[in-house]
Amino acid sequence: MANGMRNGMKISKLVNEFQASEKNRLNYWISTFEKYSHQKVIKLCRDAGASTEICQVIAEDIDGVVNNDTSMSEVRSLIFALLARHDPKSATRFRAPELYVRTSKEKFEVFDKSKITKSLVKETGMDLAVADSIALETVQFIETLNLSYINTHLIREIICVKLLEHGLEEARKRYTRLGIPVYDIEQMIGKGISTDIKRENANLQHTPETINWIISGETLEQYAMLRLVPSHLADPHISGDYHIHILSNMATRPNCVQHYTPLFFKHGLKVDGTGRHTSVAGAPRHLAVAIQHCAKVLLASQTQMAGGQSIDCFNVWLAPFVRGLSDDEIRQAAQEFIYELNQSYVARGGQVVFSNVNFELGIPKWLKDVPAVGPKGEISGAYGDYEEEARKFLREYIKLKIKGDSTKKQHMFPNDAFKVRPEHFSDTYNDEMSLIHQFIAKFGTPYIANGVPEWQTEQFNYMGCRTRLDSAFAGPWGTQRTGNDIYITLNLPRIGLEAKGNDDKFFEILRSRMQKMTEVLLMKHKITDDTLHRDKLLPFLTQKFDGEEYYQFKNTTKTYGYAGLTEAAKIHTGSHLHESKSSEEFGLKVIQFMRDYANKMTKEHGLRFSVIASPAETCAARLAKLDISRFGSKNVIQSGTKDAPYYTNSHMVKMDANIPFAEKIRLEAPYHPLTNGGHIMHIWLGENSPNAESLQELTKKICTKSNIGFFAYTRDYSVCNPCSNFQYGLQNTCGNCNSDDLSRYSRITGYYQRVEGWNPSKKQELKDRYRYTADTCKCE
Amino acid sequence: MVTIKSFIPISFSDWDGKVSAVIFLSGCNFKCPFCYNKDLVFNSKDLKEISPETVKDYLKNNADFVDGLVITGGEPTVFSDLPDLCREIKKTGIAIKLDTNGSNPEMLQQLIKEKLIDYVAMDIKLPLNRYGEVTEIKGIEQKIRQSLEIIKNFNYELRTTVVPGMHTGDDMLKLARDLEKIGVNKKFFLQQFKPLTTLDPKLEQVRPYSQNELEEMKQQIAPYFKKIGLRI
Repeated sequence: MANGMRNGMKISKLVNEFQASEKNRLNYWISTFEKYSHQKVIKLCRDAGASTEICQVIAEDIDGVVNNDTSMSEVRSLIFALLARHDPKSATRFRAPELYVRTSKEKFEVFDKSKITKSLVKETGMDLAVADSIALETVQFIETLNLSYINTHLIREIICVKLLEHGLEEARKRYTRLGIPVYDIEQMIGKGISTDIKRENANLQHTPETINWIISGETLEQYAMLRLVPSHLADPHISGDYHIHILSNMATRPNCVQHYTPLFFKHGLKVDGTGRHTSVAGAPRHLAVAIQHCAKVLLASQTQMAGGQSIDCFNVWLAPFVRGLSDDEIRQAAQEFIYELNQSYVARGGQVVFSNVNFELGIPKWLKDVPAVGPKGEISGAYGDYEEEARKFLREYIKLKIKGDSTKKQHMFPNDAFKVRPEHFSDTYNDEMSLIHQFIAKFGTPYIANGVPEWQTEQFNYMGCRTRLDSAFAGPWGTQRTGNDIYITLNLPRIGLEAKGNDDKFFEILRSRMQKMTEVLLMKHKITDDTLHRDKLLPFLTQKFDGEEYYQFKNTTKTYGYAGLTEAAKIHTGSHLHESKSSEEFGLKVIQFMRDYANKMTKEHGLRFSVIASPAETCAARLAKLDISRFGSKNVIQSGTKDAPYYTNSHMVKMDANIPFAEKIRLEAPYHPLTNGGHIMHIWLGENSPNAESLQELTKKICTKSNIGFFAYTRDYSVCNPCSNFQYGLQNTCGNCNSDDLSRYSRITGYYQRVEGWNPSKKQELKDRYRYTADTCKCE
Repeated sequence: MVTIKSFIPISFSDWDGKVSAVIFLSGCNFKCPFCYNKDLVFNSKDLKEISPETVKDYLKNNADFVDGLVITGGEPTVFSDLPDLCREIKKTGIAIKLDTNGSNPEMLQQLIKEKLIDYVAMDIKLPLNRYGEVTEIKGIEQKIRQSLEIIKNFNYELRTTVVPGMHTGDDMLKLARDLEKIGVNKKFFLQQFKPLTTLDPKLEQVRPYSQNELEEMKQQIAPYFKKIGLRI
């Protein structure tokens, strides 16, 4: 067969293939609308890489066989055939379809290499020549894939691989796309939040908002680890030297805050911070509105913050609005507030706001002469004039909390802390104290903030998550309009494992860890400063009152937390904190060191560094697991089981320690003065119905005879889902209808939640708690 | 000889208004069908005995937080040396509450006279004429009435654990009237029955009164008492 014939047969075969695949080409369909033109043919040939001469030849050939009505689509196979004859390489390129890119703007654009170059330069700041060569390599790679169309995300992934190949890691970090795999999204939607990702919050439900929250949190956390936290600070977090909390909020939000509501009573409420985007409320006239302002402040602020939203001296600020109202009116207002906070499923992934209030039983000294903001935002006497009203509000509020919701279940929020001062144990305040303890006896929810000990400054406040502020840094007003920026929990047992019993080594490692933690804290300080003032991302916080920013950023705390002190002590000294004097002393030495270090940093940087006995929901388990991986389970001292390991919370005595109550207090109390950033002591009550008067007696003893700064009683209880029957203790069956479908509640590091929502390690911790009942007690 | 077979170091539900420690003496002269401490009382051989010294030491070391000791059981007054125990413990200065079935008025008299106890919690097992259902002691009703007279002017509370099938609303009404007549109506508690490891195993199948039923019962007898409460 002659060459020409062979070629001809080959070409016609190729043309057949070409025609068969045309229907798959977007550009074919587009060209069905295009009328034939000589110029278009030339362009197509040139784009395919043919020389000018060949383009001319082909165009002239085709000119001869078309008429005015021919569309470009009809001509394409002809172009292909002619290219196949004159310039097979170009024919190949012509056959490989024009690549269309589906962009994020939901349209198709012709693939254009220069777009890659431009975006690389824009996003990574790299040199034009380098960008262009990466772009070229990317294009060459894409051509080998034989695609009909491609989307920008895929191009980006390919570019990242190219950057990786060239060792351009910094550029890759800036250019990469963040997010979560398809699989994880499907798991989340279908199976609920039971994937490995984030069970950090026990409050989460299974709703679209929650899924959004988790996805965005995950993405922003990746961003933080990629772009904000340098690897020498990120690696220790990943490996478990310490745990940086709420990394998902590192880029955008500070942690928690104590709000100062009189400003909103005086100036009205702009929930967007500016008043331009939504309704603006004026200064309230009535208690009902004032209290609504309070609720909305918490809601609005929660959109810009990661953690707890609290109002200190809650009843004091409201007292001027209480004057002249009937008990019913007061109750109504308080009820609105309570329900508002428990039923607004709108924050941070469709959760309720993590709300807290602090109550004063009387008017504290530092507020007695402060001008009181009353109805219409007008000054009306001083707060010292309103003790009766403040106490009345307190009593009505507690009665509502004792009542519970319409099914008699307890209200989970707000977390209530009652600040007890020496004068409150007199008969004068017996009504208030009695109500508080009836509340505790029934539900075990509120906290007692102990204002009696020497070390507790005159003004102080707490939140349910145990964050604490006091007068030491910036006077009593330094406890208002501010809170914690960020905290990091140190893995103490690991230091024990690394120091191998050597004291000097232990403290050397401790110091170096704290140095790294300090870097992270300072880094976050800068980030928050930028988010507030440069990026203006937190308009509620930066809104101005009387020319000053609402949020007192300069007073925010940067906090060192810790976990597993007892396990660390066991590794280092051979015994747990409650087992020997030397262990006890060692524990105190460690935390004293941390506090001294924090004080030093405060002096050095002029920032509010503090130490906190970390609330450690997920952290306790994670650190234990990482240590088991690294050091082997034989070498690790932890307090859970093989399947559900955990480190004991902060400096707390081991959950199952068989020690008398007074001993537990004696061991834990010394840590409270050291942890100026926050602490708590838990008293587990077990299943019997405690007597309110007995609890009141105990509170008095704890407050007047120990250094405990903040404590809470925990009553476990169960609620029957079908019939709403309420029972104390974690029950298996309902005492009323015999159902086994019960919701069981216990306190998780500072706030109540259903036991089902817990991660396995927390469930294990629950089983370990040593209860003060006949069953578990064996004295001797 | 007094035998202490169990000890609760701290309780908030055994003495209203006090943070108390509780010691359980193993020995009893009644056989209440609804007793759920039967193992402690009749089968405590394997439980290690706790010495009074241990209890004293504990109370001394925890004096800041524990301000009451409850002596219960079993029936503490079956031990002839109970007053001696109280005397020893009183050296710590702590307040003592005695739980009793009231079957030993003489000892009760002695304890009160010698200021060895500060508070008495007496169980009223049944309407006073039905005590034969819980004990074989002859003349028990008389003894109970004597004890009631003795504690009348002292610090006390009376309580009855109500068991469906043994205590009806009418029974409780009759009892309330009786107690008022005697003049021991200062403080009374209706207590919930717990169907666990009862002395009479049949009672483990009994469904306790619901909270509403107990509330109703309480309302009915409330007029006869100065102070009345529910312990569930």
